[in-house]
Amino acid sequence: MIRVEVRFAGLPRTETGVKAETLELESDITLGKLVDQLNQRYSWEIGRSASYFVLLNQRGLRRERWAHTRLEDGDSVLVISAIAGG
Amino acid sequence: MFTGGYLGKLLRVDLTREHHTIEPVPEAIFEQYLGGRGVAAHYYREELGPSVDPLSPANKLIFFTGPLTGLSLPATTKFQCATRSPETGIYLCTNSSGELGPYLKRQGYDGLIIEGQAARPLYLAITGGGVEFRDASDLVMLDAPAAIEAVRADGPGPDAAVMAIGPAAYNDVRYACIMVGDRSFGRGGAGRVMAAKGLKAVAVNSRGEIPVADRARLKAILPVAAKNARETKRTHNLFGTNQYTEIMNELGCYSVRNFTTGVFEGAASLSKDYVTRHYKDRSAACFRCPVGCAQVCSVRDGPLAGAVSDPEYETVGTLGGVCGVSDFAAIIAGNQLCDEYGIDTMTVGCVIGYAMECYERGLFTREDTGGLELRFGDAAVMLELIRRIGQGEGFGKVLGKGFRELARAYPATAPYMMHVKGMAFAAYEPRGFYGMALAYGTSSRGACHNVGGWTIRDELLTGEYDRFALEGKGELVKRLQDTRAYIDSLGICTVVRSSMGFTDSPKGDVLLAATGVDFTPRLMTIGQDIIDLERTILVREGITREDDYLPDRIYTEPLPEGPARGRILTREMYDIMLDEYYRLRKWDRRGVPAARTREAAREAAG
Repeated sequence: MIRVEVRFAGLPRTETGVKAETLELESDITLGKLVDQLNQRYSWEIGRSASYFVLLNQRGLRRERWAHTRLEDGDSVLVISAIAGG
Repeated sequence: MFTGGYLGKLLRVDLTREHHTIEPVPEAIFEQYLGGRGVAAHYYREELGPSVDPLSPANKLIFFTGPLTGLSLPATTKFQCATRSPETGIYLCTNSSGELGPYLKRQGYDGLIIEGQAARPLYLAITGGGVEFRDASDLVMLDAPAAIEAVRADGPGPDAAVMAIGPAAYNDVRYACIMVGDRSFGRGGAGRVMAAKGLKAVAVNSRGEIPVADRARLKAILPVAAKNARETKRTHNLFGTNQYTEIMNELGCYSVRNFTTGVFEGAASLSKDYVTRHYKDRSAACFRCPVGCAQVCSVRDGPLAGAVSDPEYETVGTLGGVCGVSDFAAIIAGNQLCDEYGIDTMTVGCVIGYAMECYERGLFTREDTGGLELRFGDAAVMLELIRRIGQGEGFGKVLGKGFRELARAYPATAPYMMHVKGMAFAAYEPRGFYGMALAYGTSSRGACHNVGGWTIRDELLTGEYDRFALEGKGELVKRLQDTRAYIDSLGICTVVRSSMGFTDSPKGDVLLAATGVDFTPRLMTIGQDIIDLERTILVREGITREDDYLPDRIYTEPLPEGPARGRILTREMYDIMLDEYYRLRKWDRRGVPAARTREAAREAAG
């Protein structure tokens, strides 16, 4: 098992009412699988709509890489709503 | 040939002679520079030589609408102003929402050029009956909202659109803005120029219709674009741009205590959820906007009870983060004070943050500050300084001069001035987004997140860029600047632009329906031409590569904490991005466009 911190900002924080939580996950889990879990848990459409995005360790990652990106113990995933215009 | 969108005329007002003329605007100018920012810059280049003093009668206020301003489409509210800035001493482009631009077009004008200097305090009333030069002696020291109401009551009618300046402009605040209803030409001091001209306000009433090439087509586009804008910008309606505060803080690149760190321990009480729960009254919208991103907030109890304003992200980030203030009630009150005095909230926040840091470092003393102890986080001092700046009182008068003048008066404090070309930073920490550093450096008006190109989304969400890497940032910033330049020339708000197909790959037939000419495939080229035109002007005014750098803090001090801890952008790293940017723009290594080189050769040849 690995421990991954999932943080929420923007609309995801409003909807979950949570700033951050630590999840215990299977050691071979990918970012794509974690996104699937979050989508199911919160009825989100991360990866399927342009409303929410995930960052891995503070960096954006192309969606096609999510399924191949294995999470490591201590990783941090940030879920944020879309931003546009300053 | 245009069959809609444009009127083909500009109104030129000479305040010295209290005289006006109506001039044709050649179609070729619109074809080349579209409207708004581009056409205003064209007239600036033609009419303002490089030696014009910003506060002299020779300076001009050049306002231009775009082909979409005022049309029945989402948020067609924007109009632009070009002038010589009393804050930066160079070319300034600044834009505002509000009804005045649309009404100007309904009066039959694409643009308004104000020149000269009035012999008595005046306001202009532009109505169906022509242009009236009305006495404003009793209005001069009214705050901006009161002046707007007084002008409406005085003449052109209760529904007139009015722009006015507040007392700060008369008290020599170099970053005084022009309030347009509750919106503003915020940055760079256009309000101070207006005061120097003896012009308190401009009122325009609405009459007539703006011609449209294909009204039926436009009518069909409207509901689709409005629905698209509402759906994609739902969070803007719910929270406004202040939704970014907690995101930027999470990323460690918020604007904190004069950019000494990127993480603010007080961010929770500035966050959208906290503000919505404790302060928000309603969302509000500009002219024809289906989104409504303004968040009208009020203070319900405590010593600041009764304060009402709508602070945006940048205002929260500067009056809040930069000053270390976590009391949102004070930010509402500070924003209201700025609106009343007519002061740019972003600049005043950065100037106060600088003064706080200098005081804590012992570079300013109580003797300098008129007895005030300036400490980060002291909301009462932040408010008192806004008041003194607005009133031109004591240390406030000093701070009102802006960074360019402050650097001359207090050279030892210059390292703590977070600005480029005299214009204060926006509320993004550039060591947390290297693209934003280049945007601040190369923006046509100084450190601006909009004109410079807002790289945050691309650097964060697309997966195409690493925000801490240099690769591709020159291309990114150029593309965003070109896009923004054409958007600023259309007359629409950037928040809704993609709902009408106005992205970096423009598509759709909005412009064809509006004007009868399909500009769309050329829009990015027009944007590029506008940036070249602006750089040509800046080089003529003495701007060099050296002016495209950020303060040394960004190059020498690593961020001390948070997710971006240890991040730094050295000057050598910045040079790599700057060289790429110049190369893509086809400017030489000094940042000089070929057009300026040819122009300089002609000037030298006499």
